[in-house]
Amino acid sequence: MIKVKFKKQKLFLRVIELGIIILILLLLSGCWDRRELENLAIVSGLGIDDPEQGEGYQLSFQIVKPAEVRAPGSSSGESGSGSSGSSGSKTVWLLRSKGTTVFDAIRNAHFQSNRRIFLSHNQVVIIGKKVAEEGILPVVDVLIRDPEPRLQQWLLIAQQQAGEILKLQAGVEKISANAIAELMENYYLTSKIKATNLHDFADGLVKKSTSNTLPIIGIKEENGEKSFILEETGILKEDRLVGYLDKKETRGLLWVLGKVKSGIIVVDLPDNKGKVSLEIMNAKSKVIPEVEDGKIKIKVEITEEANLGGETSFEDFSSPEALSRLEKLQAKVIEEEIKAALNKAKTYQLDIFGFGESIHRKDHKLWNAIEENWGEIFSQMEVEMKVKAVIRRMGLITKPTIISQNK
Amino acid sequence: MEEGRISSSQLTLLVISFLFGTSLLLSPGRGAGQDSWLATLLGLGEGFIFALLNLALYNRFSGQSLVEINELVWGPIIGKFFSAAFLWYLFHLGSSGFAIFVTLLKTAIFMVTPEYILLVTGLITCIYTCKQGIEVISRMNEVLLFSTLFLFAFSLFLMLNIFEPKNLLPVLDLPVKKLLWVAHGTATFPFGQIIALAMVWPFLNETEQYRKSLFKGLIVAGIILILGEIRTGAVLGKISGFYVFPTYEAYRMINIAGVLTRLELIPVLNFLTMGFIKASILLYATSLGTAQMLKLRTYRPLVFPLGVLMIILAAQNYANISQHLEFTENIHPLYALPFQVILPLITLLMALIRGFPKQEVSK
Amino acid sequence: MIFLVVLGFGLMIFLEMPELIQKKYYRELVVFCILTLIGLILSILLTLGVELPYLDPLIKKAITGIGKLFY
Repeated sequence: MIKVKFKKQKLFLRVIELGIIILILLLLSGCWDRRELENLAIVSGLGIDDPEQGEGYQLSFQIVKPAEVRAPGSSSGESGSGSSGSSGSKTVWLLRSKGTTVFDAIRNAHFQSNRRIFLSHNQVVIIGKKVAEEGILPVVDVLIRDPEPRLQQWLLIAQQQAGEILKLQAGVEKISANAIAELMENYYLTSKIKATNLHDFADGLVKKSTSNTLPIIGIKEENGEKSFILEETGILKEDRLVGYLDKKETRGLLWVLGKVKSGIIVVDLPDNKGKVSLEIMNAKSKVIPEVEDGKIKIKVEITEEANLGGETSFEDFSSPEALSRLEKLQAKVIEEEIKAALNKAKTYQLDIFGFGESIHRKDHKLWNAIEENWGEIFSQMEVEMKVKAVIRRMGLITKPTIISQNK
Repeated sequence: MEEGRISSSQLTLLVISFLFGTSLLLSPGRGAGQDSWLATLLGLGEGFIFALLNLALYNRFSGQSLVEINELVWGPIIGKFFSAAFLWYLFHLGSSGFAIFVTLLKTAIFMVTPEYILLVTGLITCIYTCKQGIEVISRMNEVLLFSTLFLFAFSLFLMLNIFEPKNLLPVLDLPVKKLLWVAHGTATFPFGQIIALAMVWPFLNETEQYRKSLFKGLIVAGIILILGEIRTGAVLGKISGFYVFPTYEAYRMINIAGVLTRLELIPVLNFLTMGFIKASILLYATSLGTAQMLKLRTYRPLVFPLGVLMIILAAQNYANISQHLEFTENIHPLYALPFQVILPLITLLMALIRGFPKQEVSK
Repeated sequence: MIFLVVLGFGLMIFLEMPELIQKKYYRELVVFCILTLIGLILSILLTLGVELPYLDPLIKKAITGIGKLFY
């Protein structure tokens, strides 16, 4: 009797086990947070503007059409002439939405988009000039807080409307936001662009001493064809756009930050003899804060290495003396670039170089004492520059191929 | 009650995983910003004092768990009261581990999945492991800890290109008082929490090795946690103090040539494996302690209901993230003290007064 | 939802109880039943949407209360 009962129980256990297995199958086969590729609208670029009327923000999403990107036949379409709501190019769809906040506007995009707006692969965030002047933080806060967008998105300011820039076709690229992202990644080719991503920006906001700088992107019109172009660099006070650095000043800033990797230095030879282009091969910077009888002084040391890339004169630089003369001229150009940036920053009383941070690192007690009026101290501070510029190689020829008639 | 025995090296590994548990992801010293590594180092020192205290107590009663020691020293009634307090601490610790597990998954990955699904799936694995006993937990731990250490080392390597030693300067930026407070916080979480392992010590097959393995575990886990803090601080810079999960953010920064990106699942994986071990140990210790306290013959039937209660409590731990942050930063360092220090200390004093051990107790 | 909860608890009881009864572990059975009952009541309350107090704020109150006694 007992044995039978026991067997029955075992059978019952088996049934229960089977039930659990089925339950697990049902539960684990799907999850709540699944995101299927065909239900996502993958955003490659995001533009944030002031709406023409009313409060809030107007967002432009550049959404990739996956099928079009693959197709070999879909070449560059007509550019620029798209009306609002549709993009000129075929591979992307320019979607616009409005909302009282950025997050609200992102969700409001679903009045038009059946697919879920997916920001994980977003490459660039372009902020309209008006918004930038009012303050960027309320705009990018959601992008930092939300786990979906990455912190490596590039942050740019548009000269006018951000949406207009995302509308444009980009040279050979099918997705213009990717082209902008690559412009940022390849900034070192000129070293005249201050590429900044979301993390850098947030970090700059946290370090109260350092002012953020963001690249500015504009529109260039040529023969009726529009394309975007990187123009200058914006200086931000906290999170508001207040000033601009031109290209020369931007490189001055990058010299100090140690971000110059490559680029061309054009040296004017004395007595209008012509110009020499030098290709930067390597550059390093060191910022050393010093205190001399109560006065704070910053020493900037730059070591740079360049190759002679080309010249427009008949000058012969193959002798060591001539080369060292050229090296001095080169150092002077670098110094001038830094000085230009420094003077601009001083007029705004905004420390874009991170000098305050270097003082903070060296002597945090001193920093706590001067933190309050750092802007003022910065604007009157002495900055000593020491540029060590050398030229290593001069390409495949030693002298200009045309022999000067004067000699 | 428990027939399984573990070796001293297994105990070392258990100590390491237990300390990693939630702290590998939560960065206990996050309140100190770029000085978090310093706070962790100081906390490790303080944690050593806690460990020494517990060992001083345990030395007198080799082979007994803390619950049994309480009973011996304080008698059946007061001893039960003390044991209940200690078990409550373990139970609450386990539930807060589950709560953090849910918080992380809900903020970062599974935003829509209901909480109870996450809790129940996590619980079922823990219950299953606990019922198998300490041997299974420690063997499982060997595998999981290996994977965790591998992933940790691998990701350190991946972060080399975004590693900025400058970000760690200036050292001692924040007021000393605040630093000490954060250091004390790291001493209570995670280092002081090893008192939970006082339920496991008696199962060591080489009875005299527990001291060595405990210290080894503390040092290794401490060094790796400090390394982690240095890495997070150097990668993120000053902003690290602003994030809820700084380690997670540091992994989000990984970018190897635009190909290896978005590796934030690595810390979550580490958290899941190590948190699972921690939760299993805590659930095991709670059930075993309860069984010992109530003089039951087996702890196994208690695992299931205690586990369910644990996740119910986990859901009722905090209503929102700010309550949780405030609790970990300001309340837990004080709240943990009675359980981690005061209870063992007065038990030790009482044992000294009453002249324990009176006779050799055999187990 | 309540059905699922009860089902879960039923499963739990079914998996644990027979062994205990067979081995005549009655002390264990009592403890098990008490704990299960507490769990069942709490989970039913939670699924019904009854607002139970949260733990961390309670501990905070207790700790600050004790702190005030000393200062």
